[in-house]
Amino acid sequence: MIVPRREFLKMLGVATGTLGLGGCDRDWLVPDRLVELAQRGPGLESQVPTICGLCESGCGLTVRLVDGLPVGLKGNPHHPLNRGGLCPVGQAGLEVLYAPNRLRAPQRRGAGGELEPVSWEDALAEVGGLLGKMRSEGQGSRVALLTDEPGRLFHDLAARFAQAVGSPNISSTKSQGLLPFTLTQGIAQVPGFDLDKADLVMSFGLELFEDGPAPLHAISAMVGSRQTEERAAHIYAGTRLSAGSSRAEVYVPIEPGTHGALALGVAHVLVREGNYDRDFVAEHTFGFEDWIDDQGRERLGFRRLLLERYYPDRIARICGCDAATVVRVARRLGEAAAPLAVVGGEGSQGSNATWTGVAVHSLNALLGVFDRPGGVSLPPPIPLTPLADPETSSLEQAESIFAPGGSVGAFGVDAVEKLAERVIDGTYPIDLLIVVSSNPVYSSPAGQRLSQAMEQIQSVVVLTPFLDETSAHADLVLPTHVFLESWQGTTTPAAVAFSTLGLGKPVIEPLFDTRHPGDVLLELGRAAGGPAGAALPWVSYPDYLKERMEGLVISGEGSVVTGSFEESWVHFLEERGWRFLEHRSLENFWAALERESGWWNPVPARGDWARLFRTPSGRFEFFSQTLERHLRDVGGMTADVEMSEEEALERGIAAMGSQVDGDEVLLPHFEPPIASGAGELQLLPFRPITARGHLAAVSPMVAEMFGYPFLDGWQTWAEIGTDTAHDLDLADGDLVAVESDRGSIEAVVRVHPAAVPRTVHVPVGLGHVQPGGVADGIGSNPIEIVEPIRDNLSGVLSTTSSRVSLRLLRRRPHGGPAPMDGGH
Amino acid sequence: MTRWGMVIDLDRCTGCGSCMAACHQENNLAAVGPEESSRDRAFHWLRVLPEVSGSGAEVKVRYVPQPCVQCDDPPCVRVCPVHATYLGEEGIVAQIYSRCIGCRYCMAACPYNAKVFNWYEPEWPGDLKQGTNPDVSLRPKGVVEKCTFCHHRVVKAREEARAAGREIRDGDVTPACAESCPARAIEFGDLEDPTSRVSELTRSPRAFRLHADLGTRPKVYYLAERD
Amino acid sequence: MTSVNDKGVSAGGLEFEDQDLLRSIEDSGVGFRVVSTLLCLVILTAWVIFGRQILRGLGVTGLNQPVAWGFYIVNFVFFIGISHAGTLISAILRLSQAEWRRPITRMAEVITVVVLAIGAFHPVLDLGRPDRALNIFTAGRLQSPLLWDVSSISAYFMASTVYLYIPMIPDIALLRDRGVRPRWLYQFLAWGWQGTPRQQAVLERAVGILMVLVIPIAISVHTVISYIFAMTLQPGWHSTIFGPYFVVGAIFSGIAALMMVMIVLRRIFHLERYLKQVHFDYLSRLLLIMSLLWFYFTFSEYLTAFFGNEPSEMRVFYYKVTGPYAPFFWSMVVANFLIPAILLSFRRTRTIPGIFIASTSVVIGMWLERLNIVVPSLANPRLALPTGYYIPSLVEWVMFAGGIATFMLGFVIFARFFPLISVWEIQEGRKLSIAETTERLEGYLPDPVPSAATPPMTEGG
Repeated sequence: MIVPRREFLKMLGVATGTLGLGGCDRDWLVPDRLVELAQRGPGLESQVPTICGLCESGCGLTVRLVDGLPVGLKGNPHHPLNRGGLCPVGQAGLEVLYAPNRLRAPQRRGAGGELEPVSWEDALAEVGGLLGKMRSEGQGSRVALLTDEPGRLFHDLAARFAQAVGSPNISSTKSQGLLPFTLTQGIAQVPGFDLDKADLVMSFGLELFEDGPAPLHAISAMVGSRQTEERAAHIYAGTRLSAGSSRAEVYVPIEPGTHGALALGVAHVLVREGNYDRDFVAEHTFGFEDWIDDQGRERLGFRRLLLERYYPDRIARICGCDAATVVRVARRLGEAAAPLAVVGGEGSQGSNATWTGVAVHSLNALLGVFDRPGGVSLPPPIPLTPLADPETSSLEQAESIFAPGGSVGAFGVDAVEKLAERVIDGTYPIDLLIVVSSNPVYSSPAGQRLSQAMEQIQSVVVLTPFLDETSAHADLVLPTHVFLESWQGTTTPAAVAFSTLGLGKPVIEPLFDTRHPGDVLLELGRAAGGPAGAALPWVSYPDYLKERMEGLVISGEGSVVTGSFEESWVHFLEERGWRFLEHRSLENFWAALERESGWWNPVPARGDWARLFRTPSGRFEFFSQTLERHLRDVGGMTADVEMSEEEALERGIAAMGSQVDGDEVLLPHFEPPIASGAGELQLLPFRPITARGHLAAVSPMVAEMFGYPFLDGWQTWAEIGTDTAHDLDLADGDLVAVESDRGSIEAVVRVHPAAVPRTVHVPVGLGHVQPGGVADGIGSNPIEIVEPIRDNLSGVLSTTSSRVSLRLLRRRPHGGPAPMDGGH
Repeated sequence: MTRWGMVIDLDRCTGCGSCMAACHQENNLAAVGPEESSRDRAFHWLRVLPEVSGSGAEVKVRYVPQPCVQCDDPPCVRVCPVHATYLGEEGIVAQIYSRCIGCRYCMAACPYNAKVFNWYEPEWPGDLKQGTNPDVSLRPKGVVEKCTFCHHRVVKAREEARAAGREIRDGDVTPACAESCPARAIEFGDLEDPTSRVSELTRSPRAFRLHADLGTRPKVYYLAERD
Repeated sequence: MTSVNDKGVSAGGLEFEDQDLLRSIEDSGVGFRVVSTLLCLVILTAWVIFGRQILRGLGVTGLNQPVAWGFYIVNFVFFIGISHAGTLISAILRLSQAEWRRPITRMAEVITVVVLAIGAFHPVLDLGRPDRALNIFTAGRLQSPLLWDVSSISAYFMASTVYLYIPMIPDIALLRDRGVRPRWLYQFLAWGWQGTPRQQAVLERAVGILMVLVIPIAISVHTVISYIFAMTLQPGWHSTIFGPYFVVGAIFSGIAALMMVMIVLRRIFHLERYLKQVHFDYLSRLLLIMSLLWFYFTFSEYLTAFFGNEPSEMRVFYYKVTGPYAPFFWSMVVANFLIPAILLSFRRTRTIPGIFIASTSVVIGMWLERLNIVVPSLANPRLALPTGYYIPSLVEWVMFAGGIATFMLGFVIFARFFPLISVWEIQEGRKLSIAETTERLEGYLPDPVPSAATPPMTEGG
């Protein structure tokens, strides 16, 4: 007689239950969990690849399913981004899926201000009706859309949606850090940094292995995919030594916001010692030597500026470091075979972020690393099917609420701040705000202003899987799938040298009555009716994804990621061009993509200088003509009178509030950072790896290991240097109030021996309003107390420009040395 | 006979914490919550220990991922009064949850602090239990638990090897921490096999073991950072 | 029912001169009921709390990672230490035929049995799974020092119970003969004692064997308890002198506890006639010696650690000497050494109150010593991180109180049913020991001057 496993276990369960009554220890017996699992099914296992949707990286995942239910996640070793690695937040994917505070059904804010359940039909009909009405009345511009859903594919759909309803107002809150590349290279994207082949990466403020668009890619490219003893070295310049940066060959502690100065000091040494790429500088850069312009004026060259102004002693004074270190670092960079300079993190969050970015990127030009392995290039384009122009193009396009403007004359805006300010001051009425997969009230320095603005907006619709700070101000909360339940199309994260496209397919039926944000937008379009519906012809989001993928099949470029590839094979393909002729039909390709979850194209187009440098000069511009024109335009707008170009430029510079003048402004230079507030310490919020994406905090595991480098969890900490702690008479573990002019948050002091004096570093990631969630009200959010200081050039709000003081609230409740006290 | 061992290259480790998280997910470690965490009762089978050396401008911090070091002469096994922890024949120090009486003598005796205790019944808020790994039992309250080198994976691999008509060998098993490591800083394999990757690495001049002076003969080796 | 004791004391006879010793049994008053009810309440509370701990888990204590042992283990070592008061001291005194022992031995033995039972239960309190405590027997592993403990504590418990009981038989028979209620109890426990010469010979022989047996067992108990710690590699624990150090500490705390008990009971039951200044004087000299011995061991232990300067040892050392445990460490030194040494050295302060203060101080000090041994080593494990701390929870305090209350209740109940001072031994002392001691003393003295005829070497030859 054959007893089916399920029956057998059930019998065992019954038998043991009886024994249990007899006083037997139940833990000796078959655990409930086994019986439970056996009841699910025969225990069939499968591994399904998909894409992690928890942050903007879009790493490849392999999900382990038992009887169709996901029980484990690991990194997909075939995925070119993470190559098998998976960060702590990614590991928590299942905890996000099964989190106790998942939204189960749409909710509408009732008259009493409480959220009440509502059916999807009613919810969609309500918003759709509103959209249709606004559109037919020509009020489409009163709709605004904020989204952080990663990847171009969703963004394109959202943009199409906005277009269809007649709104020019769509923005991502993550458009920062582009401007330095626009000014120097004339491109509107972050170029690719080939970490795979670089041998020395100098990072200015970017915690390469923790922060940035794809830290797991950085780890696997610089370390993981290299042989033992062959990892890429890195140098870190910043105000804090993170766990990742502790592997740096050299740590250059500098004053906050002086990353740019250090870069220029390094550039000075490179130039002075002739340790730069003369050929590249001569052929592909503009403004290195002094030059004469059209009008015969002599213009300052970068070389002279460097040599006159950025000598190591001055840099050492500005940065608070040692001149010898500047020289040492520069020589090390000059000697490296494939050096790279990158900026990010605190380096791109200051009030002088753009200037810092320009200064750092100019190092790449001096080192001549463009368009070569291990250097800076543009990732090959992803040949997605272009979207046909919709019928709506006849509509006159109103100016976007996010359009830069005003006397400051920045290139861009801080989307959240702009939206909030213009709604509050009434210069741009918004009646319907749709927020998709984003939590700007928490993450933006203008979050509090946004929440005020949201009170004034007639209807705020938030699409999210969890209630959070932003949905707390929503009139309608539409629950969306968690990534494991939904189709996803992701595209290469910023700064990666190759192109990838990830196709994530659902690995489990949605647990609750949720929908994909893409499907919601499509349905809203249909509900709005008329041309809006026609502009969104896809039945569902995967339908849309499939159509976009057709372009890949047609182009024949790149390849579905598959199997473990040999390096030599890739090399061979690189030489001969890489085509996947095996997929002749879309169905065929789609099936392969679904099976492997990604496509990639690692072959950059070499020698395409025109694509790489789209500046007026067609070269890398040390002297930014783009900026010169912009500043002239800004200057010209300051007064209605005719003025000379020179005068316009001067007025433009003045309007920018730059602290240098003349040609120096247009060259990579150091702009002293602005700090506001009365405190004695500079507050530098940072994003630890445990705070990636905006859903990390729903996972109890992530919260529990939140401060793992300090063996800590569930706490927001304030990291200060040993000397600072000594000066302030604070010890590790003390509870303090971090007080700025804008407010105060609580944090636990963590003393780190390498933190720069007079700085305090507070991680974002906790301090959430999270009804029903495990981390509700746990920790605090440093963004709440930052001063809204702006980077005048990019228009983006800085998060690192606030001065704060620490006030002791309670001593460490128990004695004993702190984690970082050493003792070895 | 295989003797499982691990080599962790501190030069490659970037301290990203992936191993710690992977261990949690693979081995069904329940979070204890903020309250318990603040009382130092959070448990991790693998911790990333910070180590500070030097001072002032020359300060160096390194992070040492520390699982149970799987001693060949484990002090915990010596003191256990009820055979609840023992050294398996492949060198894995195991814990029998259903036999452990929770006296915590092994915790007191372990020089590496590798053992953790279930102070309360583990909690799985919401449906979190659904996502637990069916290969690893959920522990009851009151017992000690520890890193098992992902023993369940070893068992699976052994079954597969047997099905293929051979003995289990180096390369058949990768624990969750090694698998998730983006820096490939963790190597796992057979120390008995002199040609295995781990054996090769243990002969590196950079190789050392935690408190090798105690004579516990750990099977987790570290490779010191290069200068 | 009146029977005549062969010692000639008529049971129930009014002329009975040790009536004082039986007062607590024969006319126990309201006091007994009030006190025992109060104590029962405390103990009940402790049991309820313990029940809650079983249901919820050991998380209700203040224990954590890495301080996995706390109050329960501290109290375990402490109580077991106190238990050395008894049997060991009484056995040594008996063995050395110290005549002044007679009113003391019974109390000392009661302390042992009661405290040993309490102490031995503490590891069960400390178990994460008390429901599996019996695994120790079904799956026991003799290589574990914990098993050594189980063996030697049970042996000690058995031996000391018997050692308490056997010399009590004549007194029980006395109570039986006086018709004290409950009669069945005394009838049963008296085991048919009639005081025949054969019975007396057997009794004396049994006591003689037991007192020899009990000494090595008692010493083994505390040695083995110290091995729990000393057998691990932990800094501050892994020490060769831990065995004798613990034994000395145990006897030290035992004597102190004994004197505390004696002083309290002397007051309550008006035993001034029996427990005289001289008894305290002798015992306090013993205490003073133990205090010096304790100091010597402590000094050796810490000096060795300090001089060796091994980093992990030094972390524990400084944790105690200057760190978070400094208050406890220095209080321990004061309580165990300074206070008793000063109070007991001078005749002026070696009064009953002075001795009481010194004894109390030693008992507290020895408790602190156990705390100082258990917690700082765990809080500073060899791998420098994570450094722990330990603050006992209310639960642990209640359990501590429960332990003390059980101890007191044990005494109250014992005093209610049995004489706290061995009646027959006192009587025997009166009757026989003066003669015997005289004889013995004479035996110590040089032999009388031999007659000239006898050569002096005869004896030696």
